[in-house]
Amino acid sequence: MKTNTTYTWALCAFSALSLFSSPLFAQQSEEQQGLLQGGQIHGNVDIYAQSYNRDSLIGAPIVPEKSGINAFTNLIFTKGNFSAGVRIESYLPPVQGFDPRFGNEQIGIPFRYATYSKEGLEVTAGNFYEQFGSGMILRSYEERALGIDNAFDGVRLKYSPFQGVYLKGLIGDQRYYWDKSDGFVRAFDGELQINELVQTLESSPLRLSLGGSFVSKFQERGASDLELPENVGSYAGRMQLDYKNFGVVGEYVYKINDPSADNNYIYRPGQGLFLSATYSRKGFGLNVQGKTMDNMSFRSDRNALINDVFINYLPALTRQHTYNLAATLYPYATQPNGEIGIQADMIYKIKRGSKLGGKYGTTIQINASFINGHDTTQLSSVDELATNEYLPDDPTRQGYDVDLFSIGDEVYYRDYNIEIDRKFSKKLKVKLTYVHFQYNIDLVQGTATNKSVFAEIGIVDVLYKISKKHSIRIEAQTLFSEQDQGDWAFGLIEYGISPHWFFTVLDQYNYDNPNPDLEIHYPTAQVVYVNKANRFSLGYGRQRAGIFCVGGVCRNVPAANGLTLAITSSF
Amino acid sequence: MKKLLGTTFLFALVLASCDKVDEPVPAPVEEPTAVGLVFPVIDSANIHVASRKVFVEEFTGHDCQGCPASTERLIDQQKNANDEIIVVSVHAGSFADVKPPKLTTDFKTPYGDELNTIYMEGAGYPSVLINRIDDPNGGDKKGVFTSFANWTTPIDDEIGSSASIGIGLEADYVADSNAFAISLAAQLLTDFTEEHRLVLLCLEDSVVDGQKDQRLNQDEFPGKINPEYVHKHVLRAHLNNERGVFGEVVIPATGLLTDEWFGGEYYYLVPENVLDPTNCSIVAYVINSNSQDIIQSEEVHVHVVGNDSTQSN
Repeated sequence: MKTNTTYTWALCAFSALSLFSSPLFAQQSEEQQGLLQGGQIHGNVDIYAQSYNRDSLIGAPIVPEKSGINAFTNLIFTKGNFSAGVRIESYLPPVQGFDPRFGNEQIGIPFRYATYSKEGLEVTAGNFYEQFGSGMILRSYEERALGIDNAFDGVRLKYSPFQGVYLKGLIGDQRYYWDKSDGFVRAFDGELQINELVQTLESSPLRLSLGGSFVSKFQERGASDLELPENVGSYAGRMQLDYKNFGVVGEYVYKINDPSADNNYIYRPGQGLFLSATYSRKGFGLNVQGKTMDNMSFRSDRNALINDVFINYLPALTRQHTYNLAATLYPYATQPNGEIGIQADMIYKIKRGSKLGGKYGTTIQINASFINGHDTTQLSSVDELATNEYLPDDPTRQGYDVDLFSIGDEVYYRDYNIEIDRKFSKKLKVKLTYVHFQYNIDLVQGTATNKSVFAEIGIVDVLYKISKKHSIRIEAQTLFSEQDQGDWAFGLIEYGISPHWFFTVLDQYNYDNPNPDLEIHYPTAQVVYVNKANRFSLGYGRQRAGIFCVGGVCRNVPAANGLTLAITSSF
Repeated sequence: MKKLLGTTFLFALVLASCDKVDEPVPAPVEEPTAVGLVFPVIDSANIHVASRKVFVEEFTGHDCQGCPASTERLIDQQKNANDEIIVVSVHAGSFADVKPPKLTTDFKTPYGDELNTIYMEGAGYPSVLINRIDDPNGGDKKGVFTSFANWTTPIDDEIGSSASIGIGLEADYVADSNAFAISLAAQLLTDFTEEHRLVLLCLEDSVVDGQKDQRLNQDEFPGKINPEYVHKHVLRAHLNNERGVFGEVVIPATGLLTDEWFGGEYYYLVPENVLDPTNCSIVAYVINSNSQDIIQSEEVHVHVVGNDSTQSN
């Protein structure tokens, strides 16, 4: 990785800007007043701190510093068409579970930018995030909870020469903790909004947009026995069609040979297809999504691993569960080397006043997702590929043969769930959830059990309003499984005093672990105070080891025992 | 419009950025095994001990319009010297670049490029090295003689000098294996106290392809290019190249004594750039590792052997 250039200039510039715009500088020059007059500064602060006690029973790692803090401060200056901003980050040291490389610097400014827009042209210099289409070809984003920040550092142009025509071009490095990725990215995206472009279609119920992207990364070949491509290109085409209550979105992406650590340095091109169809009317919504992709990991450093320097994002085809056991024990992570799947999501509201719907109506949501591997024919084994030698049976190092639309026997994931949400009275609301998982734990979590985990989860969520300001919410969850860690129970009681206070106690209990010594309670107590744009949260308890996922992207969370403090504030 | 042009430029830049790799790892060259291979026999009577042959490396190129005239003179000189001169045509440098639409054959070789880099800096074409003798004008460089007017006399001067090594060389082209089977035996005619190396080359004769020639009539030959020029002694490959451009050590730095021998049997697949293996000859030369003087050389045209017991890997 390249050594990161200093961000001192940005810090100095922004500090100076901030000071000059402060009332403390009452004697600023007229010129400065003119420059800054009408400008605004706003931002936000996000602090997450955790202390660590010894707890060998749950396997909590010993942390010499006994605490960790992740802190983020955004400062944004805007004036007219101009805006500039910085993000100050601090890791003292990083909270356990976040990559320790964030701790390479205790405090710094990894994100700074300036943007100016005029007459349809927007220019951004510095750091920025961007997404083309669904993100299958390019998406840079920050997901702080996962420790992901693959922001670009370079230049981006957005231009709309005509109404309905939108062009984007960018070139830049990507953030790699406190450094930059070895390679850099060049990208172009064009989108046509047909209804804006053709005046006669402006009010048509048929809405159509078409888009296309091309992304190329460059990375020097470096020392390798392989003839590595230094320029790797990828292109994508997409469309969105809406007609009254119907909608269809589709995108296809293709990537040329991109040998990388993800794919054992094979030269097979990558492909992906994503389709989504939606129908909705009052009280009913149906969404069906399908996805197939092969070898579509795309990073600006071919040797990068984990969640580092991804250029693209592969959309998840699974429901993002929020209830504890379903969300944290067996969440699915998208497999960039290849998968095929379908998800259907239906929501139906039974009319209020009906026999089934009750006085306030009842909402039923049914969701199912099926993900399998492809049916592949292996041309080279992992061991053979690792030699980097000429492979007579696979001279072009394709690795395997696959039909993009084939469905292999290996089940990656099944999730069937139903949620019934019913308000019984002005005070009582109940939500019942049932979830069935079939989970390829070896694939997602890297274990070697050679068997899938089957899990059944039942959840009862009761909210009772005691008075106008006081409420109590109770969650009871249980998970049954013959595999992995066996059965779990979860209980939560949350007392809320609107609008400021929330008091929560919860416990996870692995009451039927195959190893009786691991039948452990994970209790936690938490107090939350909210006041306008400020939120403070203080908790104490045990945190179970597992993985945490957002949108099909996951990170490992180690076990912990201690105090947690979270503060968010915006201004 | 400028903005649109800028965006279009960026678009074009991005589109141009793709490297398709068809051969991630080069296929290993399949060497025929020596199992059952019958190598040619060297008749000791044919070992050349009478003189030090004159090894002439001619640097040329198909776009060098002055080269054909000098080459003809060099070949005439070779004929008149009764096999005392060995000529290797090294196509290298910018005159040997492929220049479509008429000069489309790439005669260059990695070995020739290296020689060009080592010895031909700043030299005009055609030029020759003669046994890689030193520059007669002094200095550290090897003597580079440009055009026949300047190389005829030094070549003649080298003819007939005494040999310090006698080389016997035989080579078969084994058609069934598309390989060369080479036998070499060398007898030391004096004591040696320095390291010497052996280089084996493959030449191809009578290669018909385009060549610029200043003597041609522009109207008859557009661009003064003769499309059916017969290229002689074309360097095709450095065969024993595992140890680099100066070949393999045959006399160690500790030396060898008079009447000691070195040699061996070698087998190589016919280089891919050879058009007709039956037109090939094998050249062997021995070079002093320190002075880089070529002390002896030999050339033999391959004998075609249609049937063999060679086994390929």
